[in-house]
Amino acid sequence: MTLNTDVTTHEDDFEEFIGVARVRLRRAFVGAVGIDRAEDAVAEALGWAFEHRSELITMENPIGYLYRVGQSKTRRSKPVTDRLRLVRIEASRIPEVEPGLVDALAALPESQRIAVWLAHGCAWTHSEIGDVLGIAASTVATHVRRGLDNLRREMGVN
Amino acid sequence: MRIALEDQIRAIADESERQLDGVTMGPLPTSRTSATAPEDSRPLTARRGQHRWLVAAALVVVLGGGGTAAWVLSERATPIDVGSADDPVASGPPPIPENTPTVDADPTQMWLVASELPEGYAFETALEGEPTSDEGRTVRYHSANGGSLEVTSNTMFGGLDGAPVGEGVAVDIDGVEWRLRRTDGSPSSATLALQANETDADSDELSQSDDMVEAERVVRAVGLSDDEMVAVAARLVSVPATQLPRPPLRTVGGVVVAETVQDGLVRQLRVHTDGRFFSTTVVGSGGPTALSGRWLAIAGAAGPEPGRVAQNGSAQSLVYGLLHPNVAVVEVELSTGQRIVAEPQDLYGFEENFFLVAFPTETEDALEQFVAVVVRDADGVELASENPFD
Repeated sequence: MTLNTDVTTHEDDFEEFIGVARVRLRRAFVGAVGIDRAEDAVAEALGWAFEHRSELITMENPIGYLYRVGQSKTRRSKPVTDRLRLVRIEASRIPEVEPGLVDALAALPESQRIAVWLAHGCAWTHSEIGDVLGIAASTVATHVRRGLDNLRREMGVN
Repeated sequence: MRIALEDQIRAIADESERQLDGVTMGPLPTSRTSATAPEDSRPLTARRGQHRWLVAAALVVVLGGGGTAAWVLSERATPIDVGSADDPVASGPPPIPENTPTVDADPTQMWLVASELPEGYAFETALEGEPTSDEGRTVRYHSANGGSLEVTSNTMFGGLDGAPVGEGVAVDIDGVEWRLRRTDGSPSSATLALQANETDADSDELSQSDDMVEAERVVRAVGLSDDEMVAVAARLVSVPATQLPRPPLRTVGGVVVAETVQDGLVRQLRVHTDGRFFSTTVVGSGGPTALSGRWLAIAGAAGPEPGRVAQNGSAQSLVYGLLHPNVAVVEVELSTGQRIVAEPQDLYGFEENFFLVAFPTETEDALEQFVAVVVRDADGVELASENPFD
């Protein structure tokens, strides 16, 4: 998967781009701002996209940039006051998931949680994650490794 | 461990996506009316006091003849507070912005203003949300001959678009290097900018992440000479909101006309001057619309979250759209017989009006309850009655 989806001035193509961006961003935002604010972050990002279409066209990584816009604006407009939620149901209702993993994932330090979520929840490459977080891919790898280590330790598995 | 940890994380993300697929919105928490409440027959002006929609009028930036000049100064700064998102939800159209005292403004909210204005210029408005970058605060001035001047303090996560470092002519103002640049080749709307861009990856704002935040100051004008622009930039001061001639308007992007709060989250409706684009976080989508000679154009509607109605019967729906400027009253008729009266929201400088109505929903599909929108002129004469969703 690449985040470098082309943006075009053609109306139909732009709508298609928005559709692709919406799907990718929504899933990604869950790990960053939680499921309760993911739609808001998407709306912020896509609202910005419609307003700045001409600028978006020139970007090499438009979806990555939109991720940053949505994340930043959502945090700023509504700081997190409650515990971040990744799902709206009891974790025990996800049969293939170990009890406690959802809470442990949500409780990771933000940099680790986002890196792990994007890498393994959204299948972004370390390079793509690094682009949107403004850090090196090697740093992303470190966050992911430490995050997984913390999760395994929390879950009591190797 | 049931499956690999990485696969479990993927499964959690899959579950999140499934849940988001099934939820598009929740109920609006308030309405100006209820299913059992009688129609409010008081004059519109009397009802303004109980408005629970927070609406800000919009401004259109008109680029007149001559060059537009702008100075952009980027600097490391404490992120700008763009205001609370927890404003009370309003239940009706807002008052039209006017010269009202600012005693109720937030005294801790600081605004960058021009301490000395060019001759003939006067304060116009203060806007939260810079029109071009979607962030920051802009104080706008104008002159009687069509000149305009904006002073903006802006924070943009991830960098400032359109203001690359190193372009343009360096100008020193009080020891700070600005960059004078022309960002638009059009003779009628050329932009000259002065910029000093300082980027630091260590954000003060988001201390728990590696986010990058930049801040900038912008002076942008139409009809001023370079020397006049430099003079304005050299005399910028920061003042509390209480010292502004009138209270700031709330904007997001170029033009925001309405917002509400639902379940503790901000739900916003926007109108854009370019293309008449609407967007709303309630339904997470929007689309272009225009009047095209009609009195009314419905931009969108949002219904209740599935299951909400059955649970408590308190869900509400939302209809919003554009109106011809001659429309003075909007009446939304529901299948219950209820009629909700709304006042078009005057978008200052905007050629069309906007309306926003929330109504209680007793059906699974919000639009099942929506019968018609009737628009009337100031004399009460019906101009049109239609249900665009039919």
